[in-house]
Amino acid sequence: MPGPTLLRAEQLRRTYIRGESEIAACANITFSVNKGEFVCIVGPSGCGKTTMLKCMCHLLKPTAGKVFVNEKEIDRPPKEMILIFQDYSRSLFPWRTVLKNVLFVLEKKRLSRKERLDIARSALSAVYLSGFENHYPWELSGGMQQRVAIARGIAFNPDILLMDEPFASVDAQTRSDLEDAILEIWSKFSQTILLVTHDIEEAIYLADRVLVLSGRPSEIREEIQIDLERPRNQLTTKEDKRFIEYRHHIYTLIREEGQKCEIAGI
Amino acid sequence: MTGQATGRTTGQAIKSIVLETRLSGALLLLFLIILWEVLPRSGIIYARYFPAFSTVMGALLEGIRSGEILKQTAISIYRAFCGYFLAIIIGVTLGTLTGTIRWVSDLLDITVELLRPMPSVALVPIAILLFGTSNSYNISIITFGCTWPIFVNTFEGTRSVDTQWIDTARIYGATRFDLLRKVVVPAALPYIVSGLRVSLATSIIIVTVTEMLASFKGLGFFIMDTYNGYRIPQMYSGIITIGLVGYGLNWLFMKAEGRLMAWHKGWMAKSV
Repeated sequence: MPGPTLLRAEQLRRTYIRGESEIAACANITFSVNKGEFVCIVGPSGCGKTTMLKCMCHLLKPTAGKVFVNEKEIDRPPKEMILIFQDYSRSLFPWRTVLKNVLFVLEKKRLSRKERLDIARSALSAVYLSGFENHYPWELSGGMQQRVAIARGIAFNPDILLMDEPFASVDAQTRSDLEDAILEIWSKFSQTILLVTHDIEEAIYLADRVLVLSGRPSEIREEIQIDLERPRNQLTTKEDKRFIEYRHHIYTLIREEGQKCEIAGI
Repeated sequence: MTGQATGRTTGQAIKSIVLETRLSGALLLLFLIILWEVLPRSGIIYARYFPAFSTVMGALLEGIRSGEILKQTAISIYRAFCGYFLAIIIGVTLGTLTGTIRWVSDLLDITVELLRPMPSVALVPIAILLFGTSNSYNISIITFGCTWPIFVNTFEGTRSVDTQWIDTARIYGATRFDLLRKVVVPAALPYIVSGLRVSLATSIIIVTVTEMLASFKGLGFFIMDTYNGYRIPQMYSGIITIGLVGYGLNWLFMKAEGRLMAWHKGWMAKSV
């Protein structure tokens, strides 16, 4: 049962100038995410997914269109929404320990020192990183570093978590571990998550709803409701007949879009 | 078991190599000192101009006992530090502003590029006209000379901060001032520190030269004064003291850097 609309993008468009011509990274993106939902966006690679996410949280100003969070139009990075990047090594601060990286996001909040520490510690324990508080992020493996970034996100306690290909820089085994970790966090904290990926199976495995992007300039090509039971399981869910049908369908869509791009010479 | 044994042997081998080089380093120094003692005494070089090691040490100890050397050293260090700290404040502030604000760097670019290559000691006459031979004369020139390495490194460092760190901080509600204090400056710190190291050595050079040229106190003055008075062993004791001061300050700096910048060393080792 979908909750009230939490995030809404309306006709979002971002273009940039290259030489004489204006190139659209994304054009006319419209969709919404309801409270408590897990939505995944998949699209062919290089279709402006990161640009779109940065526009969603106003790290980049959209050329046109609007973004609403809790039905309020935003004009700066809203404190209800945070973005977790693909490249953890460039978003964790190497001069801060793991604990201090998490504490960073609490420094603007009106909390006592003890409250901050408690929140940071419990966020780290939620991603199974208790005991690594005093390590530096670069002393940890890639998967662990991304979990620090996730802990930092949930410590901030946003209404919605945006994730930009969060598991694309780790090996396959770590990847499925992280997928299950994020599902666990999603249900434990009743989070709302919008995750962007180029991996079709990952999108189906995680999401309540998958949005398929077209090639550049990207638009929402199709919206697919995923009817698979939760909790999901790396083996049984992915062997389910419906899972395979979804995969077939989305794969065909994306292949078509990819070919269109090639023909257009993009 | 075998692996462990091999590991230990290699460890020991490395340790003994390090020990050996240290030992041969000390032996070389000892050899040079013996040469310094023997050559003047044997009359191979002119002992009046190049007094033996023991004679110079005698003068140094006498200078320390009478307080003369210590007094002059304290004055030189005081001047060098004042100039150095002013340079840190000016260099870091200007470097951060030019590194982060486009119009400031456009505004300052030409002026900085013209001033930067100027040898600081060329400004001695101007500083004397302005300040006479007061401490401000030495300090102003030290400040001028030490500002540039700090400025340039801070500029480079703040400009090359990864944009994703900035984006991350903005996502979590950082204000412009937060970005500067919590992201830009810490991220640029490795650059800033290398500027600080260069400037520390520069400050010692400039304090000595300015004191030699126009001061009535300080180690630079002491060296020239003893030279003019033909007190050659005392002159050498002054030269050795300024060398030791430079060595000691650099040693302290490296110690502090090793502690404060440990994260950077580890991070660099990991990311290469």
